[in-house]
Amino acid sequence: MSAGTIPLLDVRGLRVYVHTKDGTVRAVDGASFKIERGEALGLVGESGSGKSMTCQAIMQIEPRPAAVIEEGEVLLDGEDLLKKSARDMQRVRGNRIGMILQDPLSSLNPVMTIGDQLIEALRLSDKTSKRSQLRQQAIVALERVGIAKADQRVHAYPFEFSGGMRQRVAAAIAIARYPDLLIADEPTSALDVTTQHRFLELLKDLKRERGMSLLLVTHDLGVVAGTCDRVAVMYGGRVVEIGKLEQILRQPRHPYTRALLKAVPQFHGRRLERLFQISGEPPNNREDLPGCHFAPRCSEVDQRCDAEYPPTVHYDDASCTACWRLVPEDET
Amino acid sequence: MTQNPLLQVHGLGKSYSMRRRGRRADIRAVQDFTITVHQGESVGIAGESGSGKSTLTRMILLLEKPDTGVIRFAGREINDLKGRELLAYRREVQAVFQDSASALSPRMRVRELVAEPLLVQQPRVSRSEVDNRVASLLRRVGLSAKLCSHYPHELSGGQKQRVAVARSLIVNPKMLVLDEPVSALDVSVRSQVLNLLLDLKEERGLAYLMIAHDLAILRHVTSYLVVMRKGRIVEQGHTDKVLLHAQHPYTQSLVTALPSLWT
Repeated sequence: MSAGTIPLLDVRGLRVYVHTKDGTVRAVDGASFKIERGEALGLVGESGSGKSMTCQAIMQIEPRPAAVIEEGEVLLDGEDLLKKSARDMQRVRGNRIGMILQDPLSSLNPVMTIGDQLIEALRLSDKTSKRSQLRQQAIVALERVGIAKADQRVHAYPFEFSGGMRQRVAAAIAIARYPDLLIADEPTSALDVTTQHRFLELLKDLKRERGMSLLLVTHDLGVVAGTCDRVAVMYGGRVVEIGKLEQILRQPRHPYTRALLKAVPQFHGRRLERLFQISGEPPNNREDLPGCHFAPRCSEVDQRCDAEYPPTVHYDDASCTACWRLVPEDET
Repeated sequence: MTQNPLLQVHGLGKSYSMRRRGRRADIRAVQDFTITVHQGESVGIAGESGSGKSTLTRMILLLEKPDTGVIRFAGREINDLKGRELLAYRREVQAVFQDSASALSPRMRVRELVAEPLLVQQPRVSRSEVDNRVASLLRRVGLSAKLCSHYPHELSGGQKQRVAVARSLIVNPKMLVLDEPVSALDVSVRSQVLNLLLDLKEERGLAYLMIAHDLAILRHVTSYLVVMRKGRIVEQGHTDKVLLHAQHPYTQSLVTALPSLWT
């Protein structure tokens, strides 16, 4: 392929609005980010920041008719997915982009054996192979995600698995057709710490072995720290900062990223009596605020912040911020 | 910290019998559990799902009858409390659960929710007294008095959890049982609630029994820590000592698995 400089996924100015009877919620309000081939990007934000809705919009599985993609582009290898027909989009899902959700029980069918569910997924792109061949592929897929005795477990039902194992089955289905990108939306939030640790190791292995890209959505910066190459921080439906993992953790630029990192209780290091707290409540994204969405809670706010949304400042290909404080003087 | 033991649990055990594929099997949820919580002390219980944390809490709250063992509160055995005495115990020990959305009745307003435990304990209390206490508690937990007429669904997660804390404090308890009190909250709101708990403990000399899976949070809030696995205590001691110099392989694996920002 000649797509040397084109990123695998390029999301530009995405807006997803949810129309409810109480008014319109700007769930995603102009989000932009890129993912390179073989790269793991962490999409971090609190609940309601729009990270899940962003993923759903990429896959075009947003909850219709309430949610509407109002604006933006989702370029996969330079091709806008939002312009594709429903039929073409069906071929993108699973083949090009796989997805894992937080609760595997909601994505697995409780009355089908996991083998049949894997075969169902494989059959979508392979109409010719015999069923026994697909079953063999299903066993390989289960072995790849670390399920022991896969040849016996294909006959089991989801309820016979523990939470961590179910999530592995969901991963096996998501990667069965070797997608270029795996979107994992809070994949470990329902798991215990030790299980979470093993599952994140699995994601890293899959990424390394297959050169697969990863979009890991989480509210937990600790999860991102061990897994991702770059991090995008969302707040109020917008991406407020993107940077390399090291930079985000050690030299966060945006006031929200800095506050978020300080608010995490640290296990290592000094034990504090009181924790750093961000005052106020997260935004509800209902009002059309002209200024920065974090301004009401920001400690470094000035009059520009409430008046107009800050422009995005790019530092290099890998990092940017949206904060008036970080806009060079001569550009304002 | 005073030396008065407030809650003493000795040899507590509970098993459930289950029928699986025709065979009967006993699940031992909690076995031989012994712990002491002193006045004003904050004790943490760590463990993964299935470790018996919830069964333990339910027994201490007298919502579940233990098979074996003794629970003492302020020196008195309380296993078989009934009627008026049970009511008195429930005034001394209040609980805050993980999911405040399901702990708060969706059909009651914030004012009624916070006042309810007081009305149960003292049905004859005057209306103005109730109003005063509700107002001052809401202020204390950082909620505006305007929220009094709101229903739970109109509140954010952090606000709901603060209503749950206010509600537990209105009867002036000596101890709070906190079952994963912040794990459903966002990071930026989580520290607000944890700081509130730390301050309230200081002001009122409350004892905490806090159940959590997040070791970093336990390290901040508790001074004594018990690690549970499969219904048994595997390790216990001063929180810092247990976490920084874990002896038991299970505790060590919990510490290693902890996602850290700085490794």
